[in-house]
Amino acid sequence: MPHHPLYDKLKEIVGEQNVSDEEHVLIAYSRDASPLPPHKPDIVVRPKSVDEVVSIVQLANETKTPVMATGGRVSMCGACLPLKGGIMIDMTRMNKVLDIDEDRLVVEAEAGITWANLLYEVDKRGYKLGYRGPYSGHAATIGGSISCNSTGLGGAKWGQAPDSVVSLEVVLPTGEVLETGTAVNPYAKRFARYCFGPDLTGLFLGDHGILGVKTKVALKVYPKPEAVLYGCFGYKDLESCARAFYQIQRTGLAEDLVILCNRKSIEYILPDAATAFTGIEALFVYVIEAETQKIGEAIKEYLDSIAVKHGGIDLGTMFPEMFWNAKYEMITPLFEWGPEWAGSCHLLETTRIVEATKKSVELFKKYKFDKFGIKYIITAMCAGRTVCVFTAHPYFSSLDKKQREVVLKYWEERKREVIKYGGCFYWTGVGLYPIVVELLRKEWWNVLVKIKKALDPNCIMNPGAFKILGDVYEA
Amino acid sequence: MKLKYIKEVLDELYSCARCQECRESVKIASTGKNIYKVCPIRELLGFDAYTARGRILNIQAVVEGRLEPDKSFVEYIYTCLECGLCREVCIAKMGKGVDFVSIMEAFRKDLYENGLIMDTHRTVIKSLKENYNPYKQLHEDRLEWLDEISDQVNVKVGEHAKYVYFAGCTANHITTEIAQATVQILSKLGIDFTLLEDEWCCGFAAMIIGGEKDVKDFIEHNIEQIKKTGAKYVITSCAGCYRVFREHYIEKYKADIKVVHTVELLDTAIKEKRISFKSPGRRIRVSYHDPCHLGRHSGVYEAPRNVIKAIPDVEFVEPLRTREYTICCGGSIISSHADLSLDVAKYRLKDFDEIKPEILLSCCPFCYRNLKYGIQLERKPYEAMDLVVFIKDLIKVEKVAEEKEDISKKLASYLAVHPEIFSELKKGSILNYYIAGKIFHVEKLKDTIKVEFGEHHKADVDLFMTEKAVEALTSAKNKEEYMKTFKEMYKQGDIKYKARANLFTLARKGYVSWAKKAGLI
Repeated sequence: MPHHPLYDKLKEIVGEQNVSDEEHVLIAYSRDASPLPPHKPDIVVRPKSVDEVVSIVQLANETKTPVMATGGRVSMCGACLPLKGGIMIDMTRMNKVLDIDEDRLVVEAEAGITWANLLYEVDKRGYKLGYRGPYSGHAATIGGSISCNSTGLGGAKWGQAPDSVVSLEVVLPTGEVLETGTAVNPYAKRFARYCFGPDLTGLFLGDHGILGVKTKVALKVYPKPEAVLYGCFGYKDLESCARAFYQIQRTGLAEDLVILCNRKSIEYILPDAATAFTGIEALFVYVIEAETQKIGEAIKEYLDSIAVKHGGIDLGTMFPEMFWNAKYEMITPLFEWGPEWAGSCHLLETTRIVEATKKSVELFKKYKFDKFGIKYIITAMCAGRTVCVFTAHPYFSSLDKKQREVVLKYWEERKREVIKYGGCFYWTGVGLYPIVVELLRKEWWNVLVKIKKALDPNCIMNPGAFKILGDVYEA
Repeated sequence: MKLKYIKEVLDELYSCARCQECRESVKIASTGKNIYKVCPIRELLGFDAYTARGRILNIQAVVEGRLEPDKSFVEYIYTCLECGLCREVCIAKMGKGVDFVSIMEAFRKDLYENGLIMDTHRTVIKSLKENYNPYKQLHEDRLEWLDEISDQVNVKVGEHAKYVYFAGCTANHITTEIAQATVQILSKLGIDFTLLEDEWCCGFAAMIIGGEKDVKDFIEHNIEQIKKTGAKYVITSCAGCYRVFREHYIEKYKADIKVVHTVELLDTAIKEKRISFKSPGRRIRVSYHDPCHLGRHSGVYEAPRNVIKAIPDVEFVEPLRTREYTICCGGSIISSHADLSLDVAKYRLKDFDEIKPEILLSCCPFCYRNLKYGIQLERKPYEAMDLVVFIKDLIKVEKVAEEKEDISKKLASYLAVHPEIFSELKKGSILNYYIAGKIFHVEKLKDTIKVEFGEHHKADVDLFMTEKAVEALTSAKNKEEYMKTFKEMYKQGDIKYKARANLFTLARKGYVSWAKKAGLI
């Protein structure tokens, strides 16, 4: 087979070991963690430096070749699928921690580092991250997560992935390297985000890689806590559980806070716990991280009192302790029920958990999930003081054709339903772009196209995302 | 391409959720040991095509008819070490993991059936058929190593005996010092053993390629040879032979034999006080590399460590990635990708740089050979040695005075007669008990329990107890009292626990109910 037309030039940039157009390599990069069908890139490169990324992007721009930067490629909705093929930049060789500034409390790292590795590196120096990555944080990279507004661990206190970002280094589609935040000042270090004018950092957060390739990320860090304490409370009904959950969330004192919204979710996830604690219809776990044990104990006493006031039954600290210590191991085991899932996690006001749970259950019933043996979880985790990430995931096996058919049909309805009841997907991807463009305000999309056109005149970066191809520039 | 074997493992093939755990593992991090890269081939060749996820996507493409294997694809498939580390770290299926080894083994069988193997593999198969070994060595030369030590030992060949020593092709023809050391040790221990009159390759060399069908007669031949000796036990010092005997001769072919690795035999002899060791004459710092086929594939981790730790003046240091997280030596792909195989050995050796051993021990001729080459190429300041070679002159056969019973034995004996304490737990639940520097584990069987000394590498929970806790627990008259005491001791800090398994796994094994009764929650 002849090589890809850009093979030799890319070989010059990254070296022979780091470029491949072999079929088995392309197939390996053709899927993410979503149930969507494969999309192969035409060639894969693994750069080691920003200079190499610049050269790759310049080459792509000159030849008008689609280019897509990827990290762990564990998107739930096809955010990592190269719709138009082209060059896929595997960023995982750019995985170094460049600096941990202990005075400014900022860590600067290459965008291809995984959350697990970054967490480990800052931990070694006596620090912690705020937002600690998605549940897939050992594979997911910081560059990938901030590109899709990821949510996850530490969200109750620290919000979403972009909330921790101080500044970025971005290779623009035309090859220029942009610094943001205080780094726009050539005499300054990276220590703050909002300065001199509009927040250009924010422009690239959640951009799904359509506006540039993030090569460096500066994130906030915090001194590691002396004390970590836990709580877990079960309730006889979701209403009480959700009320207590919300009241604890809005104190801002919990580092992490996760709720299981119905009895079935508890039975599926923790069957033995369901047997051990009869009469529990919903439960939540919380994690406290405090400067001292004394402060931690005082916070725990306060949060426990809120939980008990709403009728909470103390279920001990075993679940949250294991949950927090296992960190990135909490989702994958659930694939026992089927390795494919139809994710619809979205941002929602925490006060609407009960309503959202009811809607989810109704839709599961409509599609007869129980009849087809489709298991699911309904859960919510926090993303700030009043917002939660509401999640209702069914799992299925692609070997079971009926399950697959039912769940994929459900998924299409579910995605629309979420937007229509006011839920907001923080991520998108191939499975959501058409719905997003159809249902969201047109002005939003028009501005997005204008920005894209200005920065990426040849529409080379992740073309097709948000339904933006070169031809929409003319329209 | 006709597919048969891969269709038998479709459930496994389609159980991968593409989470990328097989690229970097947090499972290792969660045990407090840092975060490690998983597949050495992926680290050396770079692209995610070399992770289990990448390989699964490719095999799925073949199964779904989207990809027709060609020469380049075949070479790619045979870069997999089948070492099982990706399976070990995989947390899918509630922590059980996708059995990638079974997938790869089945797929290679299909490739083999379709003639899609590499030229180097054909050479191996030709040699097996002509010489009964993969090394193109004359079959009649296989016992030359015995001649060299005939003045020191008197070894039976093809005679009636209680044990058969199965040397294996590598020890017979390449690393003969391992075969020599093994028979010297067995003789010293006074074990009634014989070599086979006509030992053929155990089958491993063909199986790793997918050519199991071509060694069926090898297995039958060897079983017949063993029968002739009347032996019920096969001893081997080769990790590859050990696994093949266990999984094929015994499980699949139902041969009426048991297989033991030499180190297991030595470990038992130590425990039974039948042997001890003398000092090597000076203090030596050693480390140990777990062979994949003895460790991950067969679960033998403790025996070699117990042997090493029993030698006076030997300082044992664990490498960075060890036991179930050991990186393969690369030996399994030496016939098809010689350079890559050595690169894997060199990659593995980096794990020993920081701990600076003088001798790097292992229990497998393949590992010994590949690590030795790696050490030579990298000019490392230490040498590789097989454990049997290291200890052969250090063994003392003598009576050792009985040790005073330790406190851990008190609890182990108590639990052994109180299986009802674990009634909430499901079959396969395993707990390690750490008491006063000693370790034992309890494994839940169907209706009873098994209590054994030593740490279990697959334990779900580790329990740490003070002597005070043991005294209190063993005074309990029944389960109710035991659990009550357990709760008190836990509250007082005399019992601590650490969960090794995932929360989901624990909840499926009954630990939540058990922990509730025990006062942990």
